[in-house]
Amino acid sequence: MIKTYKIRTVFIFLVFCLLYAIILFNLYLIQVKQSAFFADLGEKQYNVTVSRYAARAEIFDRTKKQPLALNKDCLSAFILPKQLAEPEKVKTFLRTHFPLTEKRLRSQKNKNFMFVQRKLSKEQEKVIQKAELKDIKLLKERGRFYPVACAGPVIGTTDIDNKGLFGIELQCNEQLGGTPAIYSLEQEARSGHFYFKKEMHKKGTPGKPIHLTLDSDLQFLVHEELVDTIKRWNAQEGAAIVMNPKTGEILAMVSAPTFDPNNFSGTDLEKTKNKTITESYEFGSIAKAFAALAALEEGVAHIDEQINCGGSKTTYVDGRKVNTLVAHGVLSFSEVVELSNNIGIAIVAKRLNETLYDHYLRLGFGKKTGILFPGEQPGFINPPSKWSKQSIISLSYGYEMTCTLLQIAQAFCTIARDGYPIQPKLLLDTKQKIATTPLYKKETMDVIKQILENTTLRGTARRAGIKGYRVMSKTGTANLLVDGQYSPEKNIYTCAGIVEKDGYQRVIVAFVKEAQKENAYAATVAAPLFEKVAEKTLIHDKVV
Amino acid sequence: MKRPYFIVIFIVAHIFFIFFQIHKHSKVIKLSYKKQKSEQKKELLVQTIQDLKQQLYEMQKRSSIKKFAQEQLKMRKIKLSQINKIKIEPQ
Repeated sequence: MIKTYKIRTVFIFLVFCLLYAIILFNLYLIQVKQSAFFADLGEKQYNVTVSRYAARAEIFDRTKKQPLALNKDCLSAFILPKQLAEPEKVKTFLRTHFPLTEKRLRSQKNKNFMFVQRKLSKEQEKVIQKAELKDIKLLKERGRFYPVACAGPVIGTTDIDNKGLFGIELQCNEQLGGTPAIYSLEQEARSGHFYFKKEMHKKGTPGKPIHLTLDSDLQFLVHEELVDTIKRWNAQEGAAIVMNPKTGEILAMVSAPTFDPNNFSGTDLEKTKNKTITESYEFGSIAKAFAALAALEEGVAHIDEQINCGGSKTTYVDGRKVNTLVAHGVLSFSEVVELSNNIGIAIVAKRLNETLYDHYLRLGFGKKTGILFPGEQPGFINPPSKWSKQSIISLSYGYEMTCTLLQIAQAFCTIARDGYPIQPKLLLDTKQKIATTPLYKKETMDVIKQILENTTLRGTARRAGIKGYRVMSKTGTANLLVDGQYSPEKNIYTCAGIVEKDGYQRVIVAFVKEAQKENAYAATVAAPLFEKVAEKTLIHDKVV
Repeated sequence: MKRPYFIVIFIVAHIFFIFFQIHKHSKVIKLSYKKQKSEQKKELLVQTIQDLKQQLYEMQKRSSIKKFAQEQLKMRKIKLSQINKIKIEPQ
């Protein structure tokens, strides 16, 4: 009996010894043999390095109160392909509403994580909520909201990672986004929501808000007028600019048709263009104002000089054929510009020869304005080294040169400022170059202003006139290039000018492209648009 | 002082020190949790402000205001020629 008892005791003792030995062996494995692995695992669960961006800064208009871009949280939908509870239901749902995601899911079944759609639209949110599928989960991401949709082509948008994609959002991406703060956390491993210790490694800088020179009310009003004109003439597109020539500030900059920056996915990228800066065209007879300015400055023509315009629609100038819209006989130089006679201006341009090219460069054509807007076009002026016999004639009435609407506005600002140039300004807080020496003589400026005023009073820009205000404007109708040839059916209609009253000045430039109705000329399409934009601007600025 | 008595005091003092150290640490963790909860609450409030701002500007859309003015208030677009400037002479 005692012997059995002893054997049992020894057996139990040995079993316990064995158990302790196993424990000790395990401890040895964990603490010594695999210590590096477990230390690393613990470190990963406990210590986390986090980089965190500050909220993207807002964009305001010139009042500094009206936001043009705000932050907002967006919902994104995702699935965990490896852990789908109802894979068939999910696939059917995706096939109907998100076919591209369903395609991705088919090819990447073994992925741990997959976005169904980032930054869902309201309709997509509703569809997902209605489906009530547990496998489709939602998470919040940062996004942007744009209260003034018609400023879309200027403001631009951000991509799915909230970085500037185009427009001001891209131009000022660094300033708006700031730099991320980097810190390490001793995280609570269980919940992952809290931490014990937080240590900053690199201090982040918050994004700085941007104030634009745009006036959001005026932007809306000008956009409305532009859209009306495009509809009325069944035109393809249009754009307009309103500038204060005294400061160079751009008060309105619109393009139409435009896009909804709050519902960007699937947008036709053509509609996202800021057509006033990123597209350059041959604007036609608008250039006559600048050719006349050059001729007056160089003293090769006088306002009252009589010029024989041939009395027909087609004449040969130095052996080159020149066409004009209406036949005129002898006209004064002022009337040549007022009535937009191609023959008259070509005769004067011949006297200028290569100097005309220098004057166009002096007015800011053929180079960027310095506004630094992404995608700005410098335009082009055919240089004298590449001229044919036709070139000087073409350049005098706006062919063989392309420019943006902003460059035309800048040149008109120089006229409004009596020869002193000014750099256009879109960011309110930036400093700009202010010229101390004029580009042109005051006397020349007075004459060209008189000619442009006459153009509004009795010339082709009659419909741009406003009673009680001094309006100095010029129109231009230009054929568009189609497959390397000028098409008489496809035109671009432009009107540019200055509106003045008691020290108040505004430069307005507007264009409409490809009007589909008959009798469409700049005088009938663009000049009335100019007049409406000017009226809206004057009422808005309370200059009555 | 007798030697055993000194040892007891030494041990008790150490026990107290350890207790206070643990107490301090748990207090720090508690306050840290409180701080983090407040931070989360702040974030939530910031989000709410953003949502409300968005709603406000959505309602202040110029196209909606124009529609309301034209349809509900029967307002019409004004032309420059319709505006008269009235000078009021001081009496």
